[in-house]
This record gives sequence, structure tokens and C-alpha cells, in this order.
Amino acid sequence: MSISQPVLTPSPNNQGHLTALGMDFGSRYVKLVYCREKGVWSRKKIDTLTFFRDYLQKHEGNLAVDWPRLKLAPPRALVVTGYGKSLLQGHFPTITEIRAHFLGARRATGLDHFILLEAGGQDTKVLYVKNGRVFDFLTNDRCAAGTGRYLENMARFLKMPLPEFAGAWRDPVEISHTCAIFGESELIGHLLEGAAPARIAAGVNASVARRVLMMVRRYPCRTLVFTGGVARNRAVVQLLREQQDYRVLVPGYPQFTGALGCCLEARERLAAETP
Amino acid sequence: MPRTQPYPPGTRIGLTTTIPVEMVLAAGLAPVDLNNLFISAPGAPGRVSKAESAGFPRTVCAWVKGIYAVLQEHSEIAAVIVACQGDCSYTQALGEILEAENREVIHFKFPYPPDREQMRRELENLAARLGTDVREAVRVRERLEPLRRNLSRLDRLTWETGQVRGEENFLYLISSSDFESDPEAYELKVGEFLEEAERRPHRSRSLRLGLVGIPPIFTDLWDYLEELGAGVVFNEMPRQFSMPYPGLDLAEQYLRYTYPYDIFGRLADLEEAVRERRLDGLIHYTQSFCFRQMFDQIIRERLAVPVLTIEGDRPAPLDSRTRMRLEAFVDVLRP
Repeated sequence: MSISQPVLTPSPNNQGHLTALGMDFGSRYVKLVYCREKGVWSRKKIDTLTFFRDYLQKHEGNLAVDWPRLKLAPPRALVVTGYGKSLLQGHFPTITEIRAHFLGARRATGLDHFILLEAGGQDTKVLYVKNGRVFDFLTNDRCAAGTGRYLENMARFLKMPLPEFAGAWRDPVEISHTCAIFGESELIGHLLEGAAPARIAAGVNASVARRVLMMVRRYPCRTLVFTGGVARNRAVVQLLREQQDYRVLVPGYPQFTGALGCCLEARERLAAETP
Repeated sequence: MPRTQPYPPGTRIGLTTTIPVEMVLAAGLAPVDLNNLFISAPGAPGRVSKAESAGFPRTVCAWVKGIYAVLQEHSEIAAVIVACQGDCSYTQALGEILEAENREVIHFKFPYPPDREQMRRELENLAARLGTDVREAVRVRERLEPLRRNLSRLDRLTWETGQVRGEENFLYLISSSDFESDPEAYELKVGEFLEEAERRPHRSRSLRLGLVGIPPIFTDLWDYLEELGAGVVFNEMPRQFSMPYPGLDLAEQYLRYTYPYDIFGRLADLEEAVRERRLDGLIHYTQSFCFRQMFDQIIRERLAVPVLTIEGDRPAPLDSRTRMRLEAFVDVLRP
């Protein structure tokens, strides 16, 4: 896997001034990618509720990010996307999630022709990128099954730590329900029949892989770039690689692709402003 | 229960979809498109719930439920013409439920596959049932020609000059299934609108969209697209309802009409629209629980433009996720 993406060092990393910052305000986490002068890139991830409660200052209808509290210098350019975008619209420059993930994935992979599968906390997007442009996209609609939140709930239900859950792909039980709510009762059924929790976890992961493949298969392309929090689920990645003739690429820091796209957009805007 | 007495002139006859409306007019009756009646009168969402209280499952098309409920409010509608072939099985079942409730139901079958001889027989049966004949309906069709030509003109002003907005186009064309029950008044209304629209400045759209599929149940789709800077310059089904092919005879006109027939006829129509109207993308509207959702993939595969598929269930403004997706779609298409 040859991925020429910037190395995103974890924060805190306080050398140099912040220049551009991208923020992906997701349903579970707020992801930040920032870029300093001299091209040092960093990343930071904060629980969404914590971010909302502790790092956003709200007064008199105004919203501002508490940069000192985040231990960051105020950026010269900021671009926001994600689930919380509408809340922040009017206060900060925003771009659509589709654009953010497209920009980030393109930078992370250097590819011009690929399918981007972005599976996040509450939705899944599939973008078909052709000739370096988003040609088409699909998003899951009105349904939480297969999302990160669904996987988290299932792991909690099985009382399994998430890393262990995400490593289970062998000998999966058959999970037929694709509904996040009814899926739980199906799990109870398997437990009562004596199936090992690891096999049930594998079954859930396999059902997620099947579900995303249904979306991915719509496009005539065999290069699949997989990002979003669910891309950290090794089992889903493994199952995608096993079942199909897709070349599956998972960029480093797959959760930060949208924030990276925003950061790139912020840099562009900065460059356009500075003569 | 077949009728022996003719309907008194001016009797209101409900339509569950576009059928040869010339026949209703030839019989001196007033056609009422029940979809339009359901959606345009205030309280549309409540009608869907009312039908559910009456036992209609949640997993059934909201248009069908809306038609059922709105009929309860209109006892003056003496009979309902149900397309029991060429529409959907929900409609067919609705017809049977209405019959069970002693509503008079008249069946019309669009021949599948399209067949001229069968269409001729269907037209004759419908004429006999309504107390008229095909010759009279042919005369009505001729009288409607100038109005339909004006609707085609209105459509051209949408995609050629941009003087007519996508939503105006939608509303005028969709009303051509029943001409708002009064073709003369409707003709005047269209004429006046055209006169006003032709005085507007030309407007070129940087982003030209087509709306594919059955009429959306969302209340603010066009407004939101306008807000995003995109213009709808093609409304597939409303345009079909307006019978945009002049010079055909009555049977041919309803064989050429794409809605009741196979997807291939629709695809040919869509391909032409994409080319002629220089569409940048299509929005495929699908109705929850509708069989037409199955055509989404073939539409994506056969048409060389990006397609965004949205789904609506009940009459309501756009939900936030659909808004997000529309915004992203417009953003992606922008050069």
C-alpha cells in the first residue's frame, strides 16, 4: 500500500504557529487536523459531547472555539464539515462532508479513480471518484445498521471490548436482520443457542461488510478506499478483502480523512487570500 | 356494480392516476386527480395517519393512503377510475377496498406491453361505462391541443430561456392530469401565466437538474434547490402527464405515454431530456415502499449523468439528511 499522505502526529504538538485547521464535527467525535508552517501536520480527536460542552463558547447567539482550552493557537484559516456543520454554519466556513472526504482521500491515496467508502458513527457514504472528480455518491438513509454506532452498541451488548470485537471475523454466525434494533434480539437468540460471543461478533462484522458491499457494488471500479471510524474495524476490512476482488486500501488515520480534507481546503483558502 | 343510468353532467369522477381524461370530459363529467386533491388541501399529513387508523399498513405508499383518506372527505365524488394495470398493485388493492365500501369503481387497464388493439378496446369500454363514445373523446382531444401546446411552451420556457421556474413547471404540468377539473378555466390560467412569464428576463442556470420518478411528496424540494443555486429544468412525470407528443391519435397518445409501461420507454425519454436539456445531473425521487425503487440501479447504469436518489415517505418538508445530500450533490456537480 503506497500512501503518500502527510504523517499526522498526535497532539499536543505546539511548535510553530497554526496556519490551517480542518474540523470534522462528527456524531461521535470531533476530529481536527492542522497544519503548521513548515508543513508539520497534527491531529486531535475529542468526544463530540465533550467538545460541545467544554470547547465551544456560546454567548449572545455567537459561537467560538475555545482555542486556549484546546491548547491550540487560533488558526489563520478554519474549515468545518460534518454532522455538526449546520450548527456551525454562519460562524465558520463550511464545506459538505462529501467534498471533505473526497479531498482528504484523494490526498491520502494520490488516486484519481476509486470508490471511497466512508463509514462513520451514524452514516455510511460511498463516493465514486472518476478522473479526479466525484462522479456520484450514495449515502445510507434513515437507518443506523452498519454504522459505527451500531457496531459500538453490539459490542456493548456482547460485553466485549471494542478492539476485541473488531478483531472477530472467523466462523461468523449468520445475522440476517439488518435493523439496528431487531439485530439485538437476533443476538440474544444466538447466545441462547450457545454460540461463542466471538462468532456472534464475527457475524455482526460480516453483516456490516455485506451491507457496505451492497452500496459499493453499484460502481464499476475495483479500487476501494475505506475510511471513517469503521475502517479501524480489522474484521470488516478483512471481510471486504476476503469476499471480493476489490483492492482495499485503508489510509493511515482513516477517521481523520474528512478533517484532512477540510484542512487542505483551509490551506487553499489561505493561499488564495495571501498574495 | 355496473351502472345503468348515465351520470348527470358535471358529476365529479376521481382518478387515481393519469388516464385518458378526454373520455371523462367527453361524457360531460369533471375529472378530479385524487393525488392532487390529497396533497394540495391543507392537512395532507393527517390524511395518511387517518388511513393508517383505518387499517392501512405503515409499509404502504403514502399516496395510496392519502387518496383513500381524501375520498372520505368527498362523498360527492360519484365514482373512481382506478388504473388496475399500468400503475401499482397498491392502487389495485385500494380499488377493491373502495368497492367494499360501496364506492363505485371503474377499471382502466393500460395494456402491457403496449398494444394498440387492446388500447382501443380499453378506450371503448371506458367510453361505454361513462356514457360517451370514442369519437366524442377524439373531438375533446382536438379541443385540448392548443392547451397542451401551451403546456409544451411553458416547458420550453423552463429549459430554454429559464423564464419559468422548476416549481412552476411542476405545478402547471402536474395539473394536466385533470386540468383542475375545468379545462376552460385552466387554459385561461395557463395562457395568463405564459403571458406574464414571457415578459420575464431570460435566466441561465449554472446548474441544470432533472427530476426523475413519481411526483415527490416533499413540500419544499424546488425551493431548497433554488436556494442552493440549482434549477430543475425537467420534471419527468409531470411532463408525461401533459401528453407532450402532438399529432398522435387518442390511442397512440396513451401508448406513447411512458408512466404505465416498461422502464425502457422511460429511459429513452430520460436520455433525450439529458441530451436536449443539457442536464448536469438527475435527482431520482423514490417513494418509500414503491416498486419503482427497483429501477434506481438501471437508471444509474444507463444514463451518463450523476444521479442522486432521494426517498420520501409522508408529506413533509425535506428532512435534514436529505437536505445534506442535496447540498452535497449540487456541490459535487458545480464546475
